Amino acid sequence: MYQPKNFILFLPILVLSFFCLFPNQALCAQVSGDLKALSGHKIQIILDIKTPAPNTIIITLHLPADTAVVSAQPAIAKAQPRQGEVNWLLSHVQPGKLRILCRLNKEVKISELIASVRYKNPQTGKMEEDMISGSD
Amino acid sequence: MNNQGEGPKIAPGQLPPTVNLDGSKVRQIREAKGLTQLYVATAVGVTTDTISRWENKRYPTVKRENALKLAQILEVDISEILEDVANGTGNNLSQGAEPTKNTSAKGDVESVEIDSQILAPEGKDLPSPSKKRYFIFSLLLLLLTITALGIYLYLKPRQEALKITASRFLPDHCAPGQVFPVVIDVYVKPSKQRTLLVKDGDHQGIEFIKGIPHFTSRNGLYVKWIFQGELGYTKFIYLARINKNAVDGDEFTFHGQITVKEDKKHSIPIEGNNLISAMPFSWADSNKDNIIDDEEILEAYDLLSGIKDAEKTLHEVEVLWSAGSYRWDMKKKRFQPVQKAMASEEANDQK
Repeated sequence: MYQPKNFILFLPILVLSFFCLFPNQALCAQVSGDLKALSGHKIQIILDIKTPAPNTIIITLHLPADTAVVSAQPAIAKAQPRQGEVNWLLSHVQPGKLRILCRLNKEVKISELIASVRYKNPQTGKMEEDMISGSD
Repeated sequence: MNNQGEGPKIAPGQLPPTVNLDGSKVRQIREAKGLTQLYVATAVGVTTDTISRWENKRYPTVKRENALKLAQILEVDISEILEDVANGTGNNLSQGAEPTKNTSAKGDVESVEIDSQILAPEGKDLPSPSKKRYFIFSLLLLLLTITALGIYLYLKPRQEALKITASRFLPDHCAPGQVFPVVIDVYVKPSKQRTLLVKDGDHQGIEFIKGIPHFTSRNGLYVKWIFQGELGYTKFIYLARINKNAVDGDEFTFHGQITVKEDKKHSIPIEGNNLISAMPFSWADSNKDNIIDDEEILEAYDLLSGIKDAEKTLHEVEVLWSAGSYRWDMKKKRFQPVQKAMASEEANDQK
């Protein structure tokens, strides 16, 4: 017999089932990332790229004032010192882990850095932007 | 022989190989003489069942020899136990048959060759049970074959109708003399080996530079590919250039057609944007703000990334993106990258 209590118990199962039907669209971004502080002035951006991988991604790193990138692997594609921004344009991206190594002119706390990744989602065809959080 | 019948006597030689017995007469005579079916059967050399069937007219024809033996045992003339002999219209007399000299005094039958297809073995004048079984088996086999054929035709994958779509990506503007890409996406379903003809362009004032794959032919008006292979989703790209003498606002219209040859030709027009204007903006700068932003560079990469012959075009756009801004140099007929900071200073100076 129908009881509101039963329906409330059933509702989470229903919602979970729905997300299981559309896992990629509902729960997962195609690209996620992590910012890590390495020894000295080095930082690392680690990207986790899922299948199907976007064709090209743009990574933007926002730096604190008076901070600059001395060197990077792969090389920076665009630098806007006035805005405190550097960009990487990476094409032919493959699913898996992608690491960007970066040496700064001074030591910064990872919490002071903000990064984001932009790409065209191959599943939806829409532009997406995801924030990359940092951990020391 | 004690002939009881009144009908005309028939010499055995006049009889055909098979005769029609009058079963009721046979029974009547046999019973009158007090003979059992077993006795008659033994004397004729058949089974009691056969005698019974003769008497009950369940076998229409009987071998001549058996009929003669039967008449002999019943001590009557053969004509007494045959049907239709009295009126002479039956089939029991062979037409034009002569009495034979081979008939013995004891009434022995002449030796005749019996058509094995007409007459069964002794006492079996109708199709034998094995023949019946063979007939039933053949019928079942035929039914099974028809059923199997029906199932096959029902389940057989129906030939999918040919579906063709073709769309063109064409930037809606480009600076005179600058290279821009045209991408034609062709989708043919079901995917299989076919011949495809792609024709696009059809406008003077456009220079066709490079085809990816290579053009099969091109002239001042259009480009053409003839492609043979497994067609499913296929991409045709070409790089083109608006005449460098074109002035701002000049428009160029594209027309294209896809033809797929199967049993007959199927042609459809290429859909999508078909108009490009001469303007002092990069083809990738879709909002014409002199800035190639992240979305625009990603779109350009999405369109041309991985295509070797388009790398130079893509690199030119990337240079403009990384500079932050650009402007059109009218004299040199090319784009000049402008650092974003410089661009804002220029804008302030203009104010």
